[in-house]
Amino acid sequence: MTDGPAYDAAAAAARDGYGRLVGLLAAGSGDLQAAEDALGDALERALRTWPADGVPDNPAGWLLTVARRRLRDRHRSVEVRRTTPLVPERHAPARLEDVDPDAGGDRRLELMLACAHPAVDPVARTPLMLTTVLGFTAAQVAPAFSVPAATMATRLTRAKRRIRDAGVPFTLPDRSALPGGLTGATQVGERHRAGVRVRIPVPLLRIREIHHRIHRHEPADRRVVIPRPDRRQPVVSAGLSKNP
Amino acid sequence: MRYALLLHNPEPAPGDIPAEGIAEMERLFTEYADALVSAGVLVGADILQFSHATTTVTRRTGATQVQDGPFAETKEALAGVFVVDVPDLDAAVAWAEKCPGATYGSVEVRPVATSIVAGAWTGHGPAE
Repeated sequence: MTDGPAYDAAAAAARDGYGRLVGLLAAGSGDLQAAEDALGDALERALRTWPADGVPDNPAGWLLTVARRRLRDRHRSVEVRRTTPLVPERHAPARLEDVDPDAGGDRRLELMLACAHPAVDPVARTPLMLTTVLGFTAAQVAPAFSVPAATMATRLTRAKRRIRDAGVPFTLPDRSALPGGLTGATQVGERHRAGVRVRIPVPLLRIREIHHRIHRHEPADRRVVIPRPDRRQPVVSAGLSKNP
Repeated sequence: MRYALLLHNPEPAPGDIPAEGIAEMERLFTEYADALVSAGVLVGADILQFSHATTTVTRRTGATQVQDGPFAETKEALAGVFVVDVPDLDAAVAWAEKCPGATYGSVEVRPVATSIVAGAWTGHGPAE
């Protein structure tokens, strides 16, 4: 099923909201893999149910609720899952309309900072941002980093496990830590600008754009600056299409 | 989350470090411990004797083997352990950075998986 309004709505929600939803889902536990899996399940469910039931008024809220429920399920034992009946009041789709993803704030900057944390392997930082913030798959970003898809997948899995197990925080550094704490994020940008190994201007521009949107109300000295990628550099974008 | 700050450093031979240098380092470590205690994050701390005093025991092959010296000889030896309870890795790294041992050695920041609290194993990090 690759057409119809339901598919388009799901694709749009995934494209525009992926990083925001992953940020919200992962910020509590620091578990990026679980967040992405839960969101993947929610998207799959959207594609199965929306064509029949209609696209909800608030697709992002629907996805967030279903994904959160998946996350909760993970923490429950098999026993509980098998024996707890569905409660219509709690599980009714009508309630999904009430969920406002904006209420939880935007955790994308925290997500990006976690991806660029000094405790994360430097080679994994940029691909991790591309996959978690923008929703690219390992196979899509692998060619841009000149590694096989399987290698990239392993690298990403390892980095996500590290973020979870080492307790990398999903927080904005306070003023005292700002210059040091953000070097990782800005280095990712710098590397793009230098065009040393990776040149993926389109997604990076989107990261900048998201960044800018989050920070437009911040005073100038608190704003994080991601350098603009150099457009004169020849672009290697093998395998990077905008839409999966 | 609990983190173990594992101090590693080259072991100096007797006489390598002047007495006043040792006294100064002891003073710095006392200040560091005071800071950890007053912040309420210290779980426990041990500074170890040099590895010449260590004994390694294994039953890996079935029979008990007792061997003098550490499991592996390395340039830098484990010299001490500070266990702290802090919210996240950044806080743990900040404490590691303040550790006097970081000026002449390195401090490994390792999340604790599980520990005995009130007589029972208690998980900390994600159990998987």
